[in-house]
Amino acid sequence: MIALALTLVAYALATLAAAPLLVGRGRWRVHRPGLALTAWFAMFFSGLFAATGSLAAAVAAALDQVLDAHRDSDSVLGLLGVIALCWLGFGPLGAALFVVTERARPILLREQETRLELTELVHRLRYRTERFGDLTVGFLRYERAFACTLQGLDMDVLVSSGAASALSRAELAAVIEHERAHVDLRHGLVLRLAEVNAACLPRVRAAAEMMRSSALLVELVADDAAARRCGGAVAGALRTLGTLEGDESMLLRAMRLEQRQDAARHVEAAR
Amino acid sequence: MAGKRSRAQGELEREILAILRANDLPLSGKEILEVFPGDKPAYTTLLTTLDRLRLKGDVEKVGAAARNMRFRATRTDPEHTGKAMLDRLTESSDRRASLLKFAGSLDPGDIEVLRDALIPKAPKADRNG
Repeated sequence: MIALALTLVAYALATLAAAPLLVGRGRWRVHRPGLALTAWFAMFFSGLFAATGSLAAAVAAALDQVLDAHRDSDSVLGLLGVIALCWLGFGPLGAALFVVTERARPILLREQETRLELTELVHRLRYRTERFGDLTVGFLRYERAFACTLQGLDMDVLVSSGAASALSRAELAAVIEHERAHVDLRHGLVLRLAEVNAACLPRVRAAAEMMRSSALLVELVADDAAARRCGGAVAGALRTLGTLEGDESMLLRAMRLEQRQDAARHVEAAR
Repeated sequence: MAGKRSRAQGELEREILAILRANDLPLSGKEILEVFPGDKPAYTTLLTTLDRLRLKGDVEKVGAAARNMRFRATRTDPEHTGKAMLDRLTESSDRRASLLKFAGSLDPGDIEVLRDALIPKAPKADRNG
């Protein structure tokens, strides 16, 4: 049992050290964002379960020792020892839960604040509502190119008039598909988890890297999902809005999709 | 030429209110005229319109003496406030988890990662020529 506890804690520490090295760097993440995101979270959850499991195994091993020592006697001391071990074992678990709750609170409050602000903005600035498939899209009077989604609003996606007027109909549909991917794949939850984790482990590099990488990877995963439905219109939308807003990250995302399309065309031509 | 263009009813009021709402500090009649976009109204027309806006409760006078009289909008424009809120939201980096934006949600580190992966680096020049 002690060996199991040690193995599990060693695995948990190994995930902390290895995750940034394996998933936090390298060009492959940009080309396989879905795989990178899955690998991050597989390491995160398996490390978390291993840490909890090692604690449970350590408590079980200690209980075993105490029970062995007092097996043949009706000693009250033995019983007290068992109770004390249980408290000692689950104390850190309780403390960890308390820290997570405390650190998550401001993040959840900020999200609630954002939702209230956006609800008010929808009332003040909305000039049109349109259905795109099963999604309700609200258009806001706002000259800058902007599109977003946030769960809990009566609109699924918000698009600014600046973005709507700059984009063709196909590009606008691509932007909406990108936002749909965020909703369907629960990217809000992914980012929230990474943010709470980083807030709970402020000096741990793996946690900070996970938060930073997740923000990039969810955008690339949503780009890919939208490109599967809308083809080249996603790259077109990124290029149009990136040029309009002077946002280099959007131009690079457009370049990434165009490179993938070129590679796919070469493979097709080779066949 | 001042006051040459005839405006639709209410247009002058809206233009004056837009100028006052865009400024945090109260403005005098002359200052309003200086920043007036396009055809400027006559000074007396401006003062009459300001007085009408004051009676409607959209504008209030600041300063007692006639020479130092300045005006400010009493209510902020809901649209203007909304846009200011949206400016804050679009530029906010601490709301990435809650607000999933199509544009502008990546930081300089992410841009560096993308650049490294997508743009082939130029081969280093041979030192020996």
